[in-house]
Amino acid sequence: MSDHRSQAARSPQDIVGGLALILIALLALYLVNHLPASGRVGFASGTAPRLFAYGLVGLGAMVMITGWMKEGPHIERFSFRGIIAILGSVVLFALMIRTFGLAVSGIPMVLLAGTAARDIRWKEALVFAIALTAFCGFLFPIALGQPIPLWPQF
Amino acid sequence: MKIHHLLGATAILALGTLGAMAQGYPTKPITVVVPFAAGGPTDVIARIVGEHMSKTLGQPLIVENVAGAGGTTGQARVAKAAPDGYTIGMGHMGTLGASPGLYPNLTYDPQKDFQPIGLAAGTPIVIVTRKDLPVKDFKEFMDYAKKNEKTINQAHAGSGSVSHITCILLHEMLKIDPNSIPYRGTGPAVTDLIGGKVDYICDQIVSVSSQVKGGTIRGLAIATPERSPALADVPTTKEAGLPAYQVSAWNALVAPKGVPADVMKKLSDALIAAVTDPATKKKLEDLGGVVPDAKGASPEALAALIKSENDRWVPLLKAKVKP
Amino acid sequence: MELLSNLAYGFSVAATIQNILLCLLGALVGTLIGVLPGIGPVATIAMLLPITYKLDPTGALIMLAGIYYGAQYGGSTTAILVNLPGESSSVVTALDGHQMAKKGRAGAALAIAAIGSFIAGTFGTILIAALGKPLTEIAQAFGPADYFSLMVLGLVCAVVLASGSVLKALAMIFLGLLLSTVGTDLETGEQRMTFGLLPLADGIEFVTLAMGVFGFAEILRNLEQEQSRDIVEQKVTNLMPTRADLKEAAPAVVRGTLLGSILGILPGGGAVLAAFGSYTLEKKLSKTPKEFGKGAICGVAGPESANNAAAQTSFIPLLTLGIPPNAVMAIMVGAMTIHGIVPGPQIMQKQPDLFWGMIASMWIGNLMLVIINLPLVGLWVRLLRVPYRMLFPAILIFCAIGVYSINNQPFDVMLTAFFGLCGYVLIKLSFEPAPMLVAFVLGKLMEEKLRQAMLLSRGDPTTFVSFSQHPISTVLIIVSGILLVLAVTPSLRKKRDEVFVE
Repeated sequence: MSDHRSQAARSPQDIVGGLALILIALLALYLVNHLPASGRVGFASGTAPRLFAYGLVGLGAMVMITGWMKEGPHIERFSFRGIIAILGSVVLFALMIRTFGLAVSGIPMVLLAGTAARDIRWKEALVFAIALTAFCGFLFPIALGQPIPLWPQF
Repeated sequence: MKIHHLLGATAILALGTLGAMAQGYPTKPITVVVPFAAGGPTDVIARIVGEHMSKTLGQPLIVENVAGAGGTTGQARVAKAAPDGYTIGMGHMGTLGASPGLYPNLTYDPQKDFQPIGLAAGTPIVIVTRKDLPVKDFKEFMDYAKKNEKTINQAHAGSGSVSHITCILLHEMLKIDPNSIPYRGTGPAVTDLIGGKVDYICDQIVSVSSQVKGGTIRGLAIATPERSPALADVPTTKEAGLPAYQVSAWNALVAPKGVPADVMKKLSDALIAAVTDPATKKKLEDLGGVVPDAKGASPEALAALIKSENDRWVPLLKAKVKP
Repeated sequence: MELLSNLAYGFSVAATIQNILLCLLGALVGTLIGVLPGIGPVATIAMLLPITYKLDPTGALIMLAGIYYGAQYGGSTTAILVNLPGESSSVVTALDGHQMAKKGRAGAALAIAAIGSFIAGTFGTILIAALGKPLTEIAQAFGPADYFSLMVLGLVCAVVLASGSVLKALAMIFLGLLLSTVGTDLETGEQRMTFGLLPLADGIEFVTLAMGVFGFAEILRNLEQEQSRDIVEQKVTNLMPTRADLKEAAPAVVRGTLLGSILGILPGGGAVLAAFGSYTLEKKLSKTPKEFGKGAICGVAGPESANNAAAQTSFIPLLTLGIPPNAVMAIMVGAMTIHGIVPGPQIMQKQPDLFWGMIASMWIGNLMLVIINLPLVGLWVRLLRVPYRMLFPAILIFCAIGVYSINNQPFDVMLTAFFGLCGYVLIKLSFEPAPMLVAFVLGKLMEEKLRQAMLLSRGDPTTFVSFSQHPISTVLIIVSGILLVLAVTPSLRKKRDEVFVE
């Protein structure tokens, strides 16, 4: 029994998770440090963020502690390919949309996103990217009159 | 290869669009940036005026709602937009008049970074109270508020909102500093006024007129020189004893600095045609709007309005609201 | 019966061939746009409004009703099919609805959602017609203190939403609450945790957070699982719910409808509270609470009915007071004012044709919803057979456009990507995002109401439990306390048992 307790990190998910929550809460506390913690009726702009952050520190610590006490699953490997392709494509869209318009930014976005799938077929992906962009371009700016730039704006 | 072709084709199309821009304006839809969410008073006014303007200009006016930071996000977008006349903005008493007093990091100067097109409509401020507040009229209200400064509750739609700053002006004139309760938007504030949880609000006529007419809250005074047909029973502040309190949450079209004069002229003419059109005018007046005449809707009148509003609000708000 | 004659009058106004066609068209386009992943009900309605401008006021209102219900249901469809909640109340639908879809039962989930919505909508319509006025008065009795206590109760219910560890669910609730405080302080205008970024000044947009932690993170996880990447793991069984399903779901629909109808009249978080209040209730009442979170049909039927009943009764404050209780309603008011209709207390007396016509058109809108969507279920389910390598880029671009269209700001799109990363990390660490999202929605209201109540009581915290001043608040706080004890006890007992086993 006692040697169980001496073992390191029995539930890595909870230990890392608890630690992450504590760090987020500490960041929040740092960011609201300049705001008053209490005002003339007890509550001020800094009260609620502080309360929630303290709560999060406490709960994060408890999650960590249970992580030491209890056996739990390991952290699965992160798929960096997915992160770069999926989130990268969204960021790319955000960066391009106002200057290049939907017609130009949609295609690279869909292509980049597509690389997240290991079974990507390039020809199919390209045709699909063009078709999808054309569909969105027709639907939102043209048919629905949305103020989304369609063509590049220089 | 295919990408190459496509990029080429896109470039040609894009150039085509650009080329067409130089010829008789407007050749494509005009974007009107509304710095507030869809459905609010400024948005509705922009859509009503925009509908008529698009008839004159021969191109649709598309409303783009860019809400955020009390409307200053959208207003800043107009300031930075290309000065080609295809992006204009529906500015507002807050974003063009009061914002320099509220936001120390404001990225635009209401007087320097825009070219005025003209005033679209004023929406007067009405002082409304819960229906069982023990006062008969506005005069009694002023005495009551002074006497009960410590216990009376004023509600507003959030720091920097029209209902917040217009009541600050009222309090300044009455020399009182009552408890003010912030809400997220006009709707919840008026709800609690109807429910009797708070005592009074200063807000745009369009947000409160139907409730006043329905008798769920009371309108004490309207801050315009003349009564509004939308609330004919509510006396003006002049009649009610505080003539200096004249406030309207006006809405006006502006373009970024540098738009060619002939384009500005077309926009201004289209706006004047819209506000002097009887049907459009009636729509705006039904909402409680005060619609300017051709002179009032001119660019010169708007430039003067922005200046006088800056002079009035900025020092007051800098002293009273700490960001 | 005055009610019946009023309703008959309403139907005589609303039920012309032209109006019914307009309603059908509205519901159809509302569904078609609303079903696009990433385009939530608010965005759908905002996009489709201009098509009603050219109509006469009655026709426009009826078409709007169609668009409204279509958009709402379209949002639920995406929540079920691709786990993308377009608005706060469909977060709950996504929990079990998407699990059902993964098990090949998307058809049953969609159909039960449509049927439940229709029943709830019908009940809600009758309720508005019969009891609109008195219900408004109940809503009026709720002051800031009472709201705050209701939010506390809501958060206690959110603990139950979790299917895993209660402790981790609580931590997620606090994270959601903390995120809800980002942005400009309502009272003083101070910037809180915005890193000086102007687009964060109005706080985090719900859609950005939801698309990120639910939608994008889900895509990232799906792409990792080589075998089971296509959404439908198993063969699609029946398209329609079986008799046993219906029998199981019926009581959930009834309870959800009642709960939703009551909570819907409260402005603000009514629909969200209703949806997961119903989920909590069903989970507590269920003989197989372990099934919840893994595709329990009651976990779809209850919240969807509650959500739709609340969507229905949220018209009450709009019709009787003229005050839009939520973002969707605010847009609807804007559309009405453009047609020269300013909704308010006098509309019932002065424009009875409009008032009763609108109520009738609500029911017609609900009917159209079922008529359109039951046949479409087959089509939606077939969409899931599109190879995932094509489905997810499409979801991504619709999400990007949908998020962009809220404020027309690219920053919001980037923020969604960031939350996608956060959501992915949460999945890897076995934290559930649903309690966080619910707490995020309630947190904003909670702080607002708390501070209002404190300002009104001049800083007296006992105001929440003072029975003489705020009886509703006092009762709600007591109920929350009891529920919290009940929620925590079994997990305490379980932990103790585990310790003993060791």
